[in-house]
Amino acid sequence: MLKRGEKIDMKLLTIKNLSKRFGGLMAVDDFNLELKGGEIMGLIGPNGAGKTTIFNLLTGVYQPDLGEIVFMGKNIKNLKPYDICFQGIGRTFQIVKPFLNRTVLYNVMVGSFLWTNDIKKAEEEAIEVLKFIGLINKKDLLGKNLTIADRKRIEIARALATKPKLLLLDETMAGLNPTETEEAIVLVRKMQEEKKLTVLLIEHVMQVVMSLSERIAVLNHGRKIAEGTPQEVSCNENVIKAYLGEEYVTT
Amino acid sequence: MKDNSRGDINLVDPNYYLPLIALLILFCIPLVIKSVSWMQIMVLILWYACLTLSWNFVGGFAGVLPMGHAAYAGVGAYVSTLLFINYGLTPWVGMLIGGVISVLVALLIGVPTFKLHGAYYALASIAFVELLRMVTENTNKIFGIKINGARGLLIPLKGHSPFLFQFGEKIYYYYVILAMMLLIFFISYKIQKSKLGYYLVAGGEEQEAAESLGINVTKYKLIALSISAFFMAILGTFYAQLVLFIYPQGIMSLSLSFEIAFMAIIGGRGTLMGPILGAFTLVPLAELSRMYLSGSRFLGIHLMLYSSIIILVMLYMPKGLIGAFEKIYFFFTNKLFKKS
Repeated sequence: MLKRGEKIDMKLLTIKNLSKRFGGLMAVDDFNLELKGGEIMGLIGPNGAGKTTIFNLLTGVYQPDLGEIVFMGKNIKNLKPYDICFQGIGRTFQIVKPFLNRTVLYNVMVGSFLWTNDIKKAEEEAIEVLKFIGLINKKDLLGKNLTIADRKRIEIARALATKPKLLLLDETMAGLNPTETEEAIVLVRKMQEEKKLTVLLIEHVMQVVMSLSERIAVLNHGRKIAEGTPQEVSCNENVIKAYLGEEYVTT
Repeated sequence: MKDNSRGDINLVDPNYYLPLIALLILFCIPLVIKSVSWMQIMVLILWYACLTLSWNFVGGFAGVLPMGHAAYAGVGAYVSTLLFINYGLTPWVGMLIGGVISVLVALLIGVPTFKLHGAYYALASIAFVELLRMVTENTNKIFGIKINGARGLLIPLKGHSPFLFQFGEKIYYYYVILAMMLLIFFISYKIQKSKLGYYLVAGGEEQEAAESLGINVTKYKLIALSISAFFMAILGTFYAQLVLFIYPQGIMSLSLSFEIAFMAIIGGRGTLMGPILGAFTLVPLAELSRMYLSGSRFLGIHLMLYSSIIILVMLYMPKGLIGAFEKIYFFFTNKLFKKS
């Protein structure tokens, strides 16, 4: 296994033939994806396309029916969520789940305890992360007293505190106002540049996906219908069909 | 209480000297109270405070709701008593063996039941304590060891013999249980300020989020349950030595389990002082209402008074007594500070 801080493998994450069925519904159908170290990739698709299911498969919340997930040369398919965090995958939740009755600092310290048993060190690291993310002046507020934008930030901060290599962001920009969205975009860029993070993001706000992602994968009914640069994807016939309907396809 | 984890100990700060004064009062109480029945109540208050503190490891920090915790006290009481009656082993050692067996029982029951959430876990824990009580009540002998079923076990009287955990006067029991309370309180304090405490709280509040942060929630809940079950067993032994008679309907009953949970919840679960406050309020309330009201012509009026107060606290103090107590406490400490 690669140690933390070593040179990142060119292929950080390889997903092969990933499939998951819920009863009669094929939530994810033969999904393939490769992620290079250090890139930002967008995952888009209409509601119910299976995006969050893919995140849950990657993080061990669900077990895939078929397929392989290889992260940094290791098959992580059958690992539990907490083991996957140890491997270096952090995530946020579409429906935010902060520890509501605890302070912001407490929330982030839970993350930073992953690599230390010492409370002082955990606190120092959490404060570092809070400074990085711009929540430091709110560190003593309770989770339940935060705005939605800050709750989303706290989730990113918590995940960052576990020092991931790959960060999965599930609709982090949804419900933010334009200023907050702008700040969030800057933050994701900053994470990529300063923390050398690889980011896979689910997003409905097109402005965000288009400006952030180097590549985009489009999902519809559990299947990948397109993949490529933002320009390629936005001209793709299948994508326009999925989003707008048949009649909007111009040839 | 206020977060005192950092900074030097400052004796001018009321957050330091007030707890010390409270402790001093607790140390001096037996020197003032000479009545045996009042001493018995004091010992029981401290015993319940220990029970609620032990319950709090699971019910407070780990955020699950065990409603059958007397089971572990029962295991402890029976193991140490049986070892004493049959092999003459001193309960001082017997209680440690009882503690270990109680931990094993806890793990056995915890592995399947911690997959359950909320009310389902509470129901499972109730089923467990009832199962244990009924099995004990209906077992006369097992492997040639006399358990005596529902009639219970008498612990042979040995007079004043500290080595055998029997004392001639209540004052000894008082200091033993006070020491236990301080020990369990200290461990609670240490856990709350450690990775274990953070992980328990995280797992209790949002299991899925906690797991995404690398926390094996079930493992940490089992650790908390083990610590809890160990102390519950030791407290079971203490009760057996205090009363010198144990029977299933008493020490491993549903009603004792409920009492423990009620006291901790009403005091303020998940806090350090809440469970102690709960015991210090509800035990005297129960004992006094029993002493002064149960003989009156209204049968059961003491229970009505007791439960009315519990309902009022639940309605108007969602954080438990500790929430109200803290407000008053900080009001006065702030005044003291400003004056000095």
